[in-house]
Amino acid sequence: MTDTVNKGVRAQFEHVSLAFDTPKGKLQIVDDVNYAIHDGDFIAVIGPSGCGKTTMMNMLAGFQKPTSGRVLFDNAPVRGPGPERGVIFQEYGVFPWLTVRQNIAFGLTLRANRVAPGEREAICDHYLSLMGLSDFANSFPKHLSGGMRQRLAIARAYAVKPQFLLMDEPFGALDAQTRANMQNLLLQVLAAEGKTVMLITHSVEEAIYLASRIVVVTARPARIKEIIEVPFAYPRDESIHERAEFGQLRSYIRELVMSEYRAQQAQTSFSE
Amino acid sequence: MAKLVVLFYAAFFSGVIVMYEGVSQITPLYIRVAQTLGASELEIFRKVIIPLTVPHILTALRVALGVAWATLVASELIAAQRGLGALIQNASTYFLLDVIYVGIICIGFVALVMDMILRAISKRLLVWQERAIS
Repeated sequence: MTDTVNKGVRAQFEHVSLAFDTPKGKLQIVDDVNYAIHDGDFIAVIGPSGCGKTTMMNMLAGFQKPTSGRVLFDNAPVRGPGPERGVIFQEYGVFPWLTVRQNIAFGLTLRANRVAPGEREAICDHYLSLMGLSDFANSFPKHLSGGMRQRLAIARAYAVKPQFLLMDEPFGALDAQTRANMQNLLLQVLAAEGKTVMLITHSVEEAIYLASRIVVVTARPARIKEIIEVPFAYPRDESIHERAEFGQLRSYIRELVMSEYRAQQAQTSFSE
Repeated sequence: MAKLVVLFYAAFFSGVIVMYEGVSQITPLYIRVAQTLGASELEIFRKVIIPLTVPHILTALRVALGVAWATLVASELIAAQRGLGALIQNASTYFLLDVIYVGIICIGFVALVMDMILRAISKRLLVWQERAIS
């Protein structure tokens, strides 16, 4: 993964801090975060729950503004959400009033990325079959299982062809088998379409299996504790779970995350 | 005309309150999703807010319809010049029980039909909704 140095920087956090004013005083969520995401990187951000990792993603997505510092995307400060940064939400956000096909086509009917109807159908068909949703093309989301809704949310985000994907614990709510399946599907699609990804996760295995680099975040306020290069080349398959390096890396990262988790627990019980 | 104004006045506010409460429950998640797909303000309004508002419009209409009918019955029985209310009033003066009952059943039936029409429209427009009771 040494070649990442030569690639262009897509997104950059420059001394980024974010704080909320609460009745109890100022609450620091993110504290002086610095790192860059290069073109083609797959970054996994991992840390104890509630530590502010989603806030970091929200700032890059354009939903929240840093209190100080700058978040840059393609060398310009992020002003708001945009179609070049696809977001896959933890809660899916599939539109219940549209059919599966209409959900995938939604982005393509907007002025920002409108395509001819013929091409739109072709793109829909492509993702319907890629995500295994062809049989449900004309069903409403209420008939879909959780895993299928997640696949639909991913297909809808992919359809507008964002170069950059932000994923907030996308597989967190899925059962173990569906999760493994979705991870493999993600790797396949990335291998075929070459995107840059920032993945928020709390699963150490998921981070190692998918990412090229893992950013370990401290307990709140979120700071960068360590950035770890994952020593496995792409394409990857499930066999890397069995490798000795995988096990070592997993114990190492798990210990890092657990120590932060304990710190967070202590902090919460102290404040209450 | 005056009757219409009274009914409108009675039904309007209950409808608005139901609608306002419903719309304020809309989760910002769908708006965020649309934004990340590149939707403009106008597109968000047309393609996200309006579809999400339709169920609340329909609920508000049904509540307003109920209130309007309750008000109507009261106003018809007090100050009707013609129509079903007047029919019932006149009949009651002469103690014509059968005519009174015809009047009452007619009012109830018309209200029922209106509510059924509204429910049929809701069912058509809201096929996508997940409901515990259908």
